[in-house]
Amino acid sequence: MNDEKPVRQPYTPFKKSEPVVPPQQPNPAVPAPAQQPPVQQPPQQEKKKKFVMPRINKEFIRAKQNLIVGGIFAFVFLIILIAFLPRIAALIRDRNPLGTPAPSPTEEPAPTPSPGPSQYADDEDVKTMESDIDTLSNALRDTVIREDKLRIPDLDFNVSFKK
Amino acid sequence: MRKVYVAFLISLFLSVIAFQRVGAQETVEDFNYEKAYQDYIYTQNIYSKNHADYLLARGQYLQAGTLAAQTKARDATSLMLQSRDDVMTTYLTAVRLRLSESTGVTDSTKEAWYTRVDNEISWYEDHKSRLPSAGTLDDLVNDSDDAVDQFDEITEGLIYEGLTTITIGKVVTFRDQVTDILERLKTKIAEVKANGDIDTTIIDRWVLETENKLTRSIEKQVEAQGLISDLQDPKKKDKQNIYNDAISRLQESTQFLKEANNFNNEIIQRIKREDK
Repeated sequence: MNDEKPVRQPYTPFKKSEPVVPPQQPNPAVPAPAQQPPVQQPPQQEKKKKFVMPRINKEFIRAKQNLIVGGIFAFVFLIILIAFLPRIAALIRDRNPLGTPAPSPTEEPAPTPSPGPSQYADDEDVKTMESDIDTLSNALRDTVIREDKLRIPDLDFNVSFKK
Repeated sequence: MRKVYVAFLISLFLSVIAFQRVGAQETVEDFNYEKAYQDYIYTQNIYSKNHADYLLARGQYLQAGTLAAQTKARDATSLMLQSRDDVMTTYLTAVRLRLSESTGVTDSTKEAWYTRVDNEISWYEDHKSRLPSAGTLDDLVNDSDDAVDQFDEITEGLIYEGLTTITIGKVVTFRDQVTDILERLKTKIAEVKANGDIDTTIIDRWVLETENKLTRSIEKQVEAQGLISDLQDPKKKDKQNIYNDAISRLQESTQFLKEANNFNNEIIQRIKREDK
């Protein structure tokens, strides 16, 4: 059994490709070094310039796909949840009778038109009588008809010197 | 010139006499219920002090039994009994003045009660004047017992009769006011009916309801007045209960008046509304 776990490499979306080195050209500004006697070299093959495609990390793409699909599912679930939320709330409320019922809108009776004042509303006699009734009502309410201040005095009538 | 001086002196003399009479009249008129009540409270305070002294002297005499203690007890008892008579006199005077200032009581009823209460006041004043001449403690005890008999047989019933009459006066005054308003209302309703402005069928029924309340009020008052004869009966002992019973009926009578007044108010509001 090999217990050694493979060392996980840090995640990189693209593997680094070897940089393309352009062929060096002689710089005319720089004086050429002293001419050396030409060394017989084998004939060089002409190197072709190649475009190197970056290597795509498939794991990264898969993770991205999962993330997008999951997001779409979550969004759709949220929409469904919002759509059904009132029904769920009603279901919970029905199962819990102790909960305070939501106030149901009651139909208010249409206000009956109150009769307006008659021609006697401003009659002087009527006004005077109304005032007298109010005054009498207050007097009847405030007056104590029993004479509480004049209760019979509590006197000692039991005078005796017998032991 | 001499005649002028004489005339001046005579007019001066008459003016002085006139001012004195006015002053004396004012003094009598100023003595009202409030002042009589203050007098009563004052004498009650004196009685309380004398009664405390009497209890102390009595206790010392019963404990020591000496002649000195006996003399002290006699003096203290005499003072206490005199102040007790003063309390009764000032109290009766206060009730008398309260009744005199009451409305709703006929003059004949007042005068009849005044005569009897004045006799009572005279009795207690006379009783008080006899007390200093009492030689022994037994004499004082007998004098005290005389006052007890007088109070039980006459005074107590007379007081409760006076207090009941004052309350009846209040009820009568209120009922007179309710009746007066109702009569004015009836006049106005007749005017409305003659003009044909408002259908007064309901109002007429309400007027009858109000009159019924007034009748019930009168019935309760008559019941209370019937109890006054019990207060005058010396054989009836529990006069306080009779008085409480009478006041209870008068309170019911007042309740009917309150309802009648509310009915009057409803009638007024009905007249003020447009007929629909």
